[in-house]
Order: sequence, then C-alpha cells, then structure tokens
Amino acid sequence: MNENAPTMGELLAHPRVQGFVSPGEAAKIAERLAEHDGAPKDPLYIRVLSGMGAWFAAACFIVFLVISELLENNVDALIVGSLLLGAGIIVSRASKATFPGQLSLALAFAGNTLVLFGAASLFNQDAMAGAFAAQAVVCIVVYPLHLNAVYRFLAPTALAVLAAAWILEEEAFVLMHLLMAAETLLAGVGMFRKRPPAWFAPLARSAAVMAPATILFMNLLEMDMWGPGYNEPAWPSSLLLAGAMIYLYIHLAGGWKRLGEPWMVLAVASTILLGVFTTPGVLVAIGLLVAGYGFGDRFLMGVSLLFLPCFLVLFYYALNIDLAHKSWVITGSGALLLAARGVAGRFAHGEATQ
Amino acid sequence: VLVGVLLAVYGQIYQTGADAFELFVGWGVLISVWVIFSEFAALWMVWLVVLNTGAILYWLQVGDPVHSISYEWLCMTLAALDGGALALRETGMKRGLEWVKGRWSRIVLLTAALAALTPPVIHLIVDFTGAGGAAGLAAAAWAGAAGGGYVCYRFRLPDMPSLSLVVANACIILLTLIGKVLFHGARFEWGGLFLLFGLIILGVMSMAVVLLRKTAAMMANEAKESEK
Repeated sequence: MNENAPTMGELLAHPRVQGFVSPGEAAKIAERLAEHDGAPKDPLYIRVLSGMGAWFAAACFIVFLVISELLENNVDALIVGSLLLGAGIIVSRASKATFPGQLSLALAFAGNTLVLFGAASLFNQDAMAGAFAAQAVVCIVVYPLHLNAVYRFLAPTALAVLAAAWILEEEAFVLMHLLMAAETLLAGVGMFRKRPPAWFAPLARSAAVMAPATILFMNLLEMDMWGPGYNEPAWPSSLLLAGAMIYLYIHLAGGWKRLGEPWMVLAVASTILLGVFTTPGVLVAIGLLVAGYGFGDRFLMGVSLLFLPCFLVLFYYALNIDLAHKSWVITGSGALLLAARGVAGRFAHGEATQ
Repeated sequence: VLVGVLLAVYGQIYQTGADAFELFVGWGVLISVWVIFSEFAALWMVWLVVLNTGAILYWLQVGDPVHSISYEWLCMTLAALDGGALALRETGMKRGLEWVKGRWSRIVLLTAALAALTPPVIHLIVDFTGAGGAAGLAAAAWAGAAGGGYVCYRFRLPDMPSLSLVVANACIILLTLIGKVLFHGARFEWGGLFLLFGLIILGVMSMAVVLLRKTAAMMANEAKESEK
C-alpha cells in the first residue's frame, strides 16, 4: 500500500487530473472539502447516545419543575418551556463541548415538552390542535437557531406525529395523504439537491423516517386498531409514491434519456404493478432502499430494512384469503422476485459488456 | 418462512391443541438444516427470531405457570442463544466466511444478548433483597458479557458501533445504581433530587461520549500504525 497517499488537494493539482476537472470545479470541490473539515460530525451511535441521555435528563428536569410547584397552570408551562428553549439555544451556540451540548439538548427537550403540554391544556377541547400548532411554531422558530442535529431531527418528527394524532382526532383522514406528500417532498429535496445546506439534513432525514411511519399508522388504522371509522382509500398515496419512485429511478439512471432502456421499463412496470396490487408501505420501503443504495446512504437503507418486513407482514395479514392460499401468494411472490432478479441481471450484464 | 405457514395451516385445520411454543420450536427444528447450509445471514436471523420466540412462549405457557421458573432463567437462556450465535458469527468472520461479514448482524446479536441480561440486573439493583439467586447469576453473566464485549470490540475485533452499544448498556446499569443510591431513603417529594439526577445523567453520558471519541481516535491511530 502507498504510504504517502495524495490528498484530494494534491490530486486536483496534478497535471493529469487538471485536464479532466475545470479550475472552477476544482475550486468548488476544495471549498466543499474545507467545509467538511471545519465541521466535525459525530457518528450516528454517538448522537443516539447523546439523545438518549438528554431525553432522560429532560424528564428529570420536568419532574423537578412539577414537584417544586413552579408550574401552577398552563401559562406557567408555556412561559417556563419557552425560557428553557431559549436557554437551550443559548447554550448550544455558546459552547461546542460535550457536556454543554448535552445540557442544551436536555433543556430543549424539556422546554419543548412543557410548551406542548401548556398549549394542549390551554386549548382544552382542541388539545391536539393546540399541541400541533404550538409544535409548528416551535419548529419554525427554534429549528434555525438550535444547532444540535438530534433536536433538529426530533422536532419535525414530533410535528409529524402530532399532525397524525390531530388528523385522527378530527377524523379528517384525507389529510393523511397531504401529510404523506409533504414528507415525501421534504425527503426528496434532501436527496435530489446537489448541495443541500447542512441545516436541512436532519429535517430531510426526519421526513424520510416519518414517511413510512405515517403509512404504517394508516395501515394500522385500516385494521381498526384505534376504533372503527377509517375507510380512506390508499390509492392517492400509492400514486404519489409510485411517481416519486419513477422519478428516483430516472435521477439515479442519469436522466430521462434512459427511460427507454429495457431494464428501466421493467423497473417502472414493476413499480406500477406494486402500486396497484400492494400497499403504499411496500412502495415507500422499497423506494427508501433504492435511494439508500443509489446515494450510498446507510441511514435510508436502515430505515427501509426496518419498515419493509412490517409492511410485508401487514400486507399478507390483510389479504382476505385463507392461510393455504396466502402461502401460494408468498411462494408466487418469491418466484416472481427471483425471475425479476434474473432478468435484471441479464440487462445489467448486457450494459456492462457494451 | 413457508414452513412456519405450513405448520400454522396444519394446526388450524387439524386443531391439534398444541401450544404456540411447540409451533415455533418445531419450526426452528425443521428449518435448522436448511439454515445451516444456506450461508445466508438474514435466514440465520429469522431462525434465531423463531427460536427466541419459542423460548419466550415456552416460559409464558409452561415454564412459569407449571414449573415456576423465574424470568431470570429465561433472560439467561435468550442471552446464551444470542450470545452463542454472536460468538459463532465472529468465529466465522475470523475464518473468512464472506456471508457473515455484514456488520448489521453483529449489532443485532449484541443488542439482543445485552438487552436480555439487562432487566435482571436492574431488578437486582432496585430490589436487592427481593431478587432471587438467579438475578445474581444473571448479573454475573451481564458483567462477563459486557466486559468480554468491551475487550473483544476494543482490542480483538475493533468496532466502534459495537463498543458504543456496550458502553451505552453499562451507562444504563450505572445510572440505575446511582439512582437507587440517590433516591433510597429520600422523600420523593424533594424535586431537587430529580434536578441533581438529571445533571448526573448528563454527566455520565458526556463522559461516555468523551470516552468513545478518544477510543475512536486511538483505534484510528492504531489502525494506521498497523498498516505501516
């Protein structure tokens, strides 16, 4: 192995490479690398650990506030919650050290929870609407100011959860498709933009997680998990997701000119058939898996692998046929997938030899 | 998977009256040879899920109501099953088996093994006098698993995510112990204890994060040195 491997800067300055990369592009690459060097990013497992600790600490802070009778009514909860959010923002911007970072996260969680509780209690009859509106305001105000990626991931996630809860309470189930559309759009912007700003990444990841979670919630509603009454058809979400997946294939393949390729036709046809015969959940999980492989994003692949078995189990469970026929459906699905793999493999081999 | 469906259909049609655990244990036994020769990590996971489910159902349906087997023994059985699978996985990886090299299987098995041993340890800490002898044995097993996991993933098979799992699990146990010491004998109305405990949680987690960052830096340097 070469002991003195060149840096990216040295590689870009090499005469042989300069012919392939224009000075403008080289400058942009160097600038981008400098941005990454200046912004050390904790790996996922450290962020999860930080988040866990902050959540438990926030719960202790809230218990302390309740026991010490500092929260006598809803307005107190709103005021104290806002103050804690402000303190969390100040601490997060004042220091990058580990303990202040975790403290800022705990303060933000505690403050956000108190604001939600205060707003829900204040609105009384429309508690869920109040909580949803409060979380929306918190997200709009706090998201740009609080620098912690864990908070920036969880705040919009909480907003999506409250939106779903509010829709369930109001029984305005058609809005679930709107929620689904918003999540798909945000996740798509995060994936397809060439240079998404760093602050946008947690929001896009939150949308990528909440999209399948929202569909899972819709599937569970269909099974009357929270009482009867849900009879909203799934086709709007299926249509949206199938369209999004086809756009994803075209983007990953290199443009609309690849649409006529045989393997692309197979992929598009399979997606349409999946949209017709299965649930939106299977579509979104497969879409995330394709996006994860295509963009080299392990997070998306992990989310997909978490949700795909759930959606497959729910799909087969909900089939209105007996167990013996279900086993034939499973066998047939497996055979079809193997055949599709064989056909796609031949196209890929043909393209490689060309 | 189809074998499980077949057994379910068989049980439904013929109404054998078998307990649910018998279906899962039978399923596990019937597919075991297939799984061994498949060389497919995901299938091994399915098999382990089936065996774990069978063990849990056995305890729920027979072990506890009939033989009064305490839950600590179930936890140790699950930990042994998943820990044994993990040990086999690492041995296979050392020997160069390609199909076990996906890191996800290590994370899943380590999480399952540690998670199985954590409840008895917490029970022992929270209710030391009420917990039985099996809880002590489970605590010893946890100490061995956590210590062995740290040594293995720090020095033998360096892997930061697995190491962070072990550290996170140790933090949970440590915080339970600190919480027990802090709140034991104190009046729960004293809110100050909760504020203090919240700050302690942040302190312990911060130390864990600092430890992991330093360890990651040391492991990266060691890897560079070994390449030279």
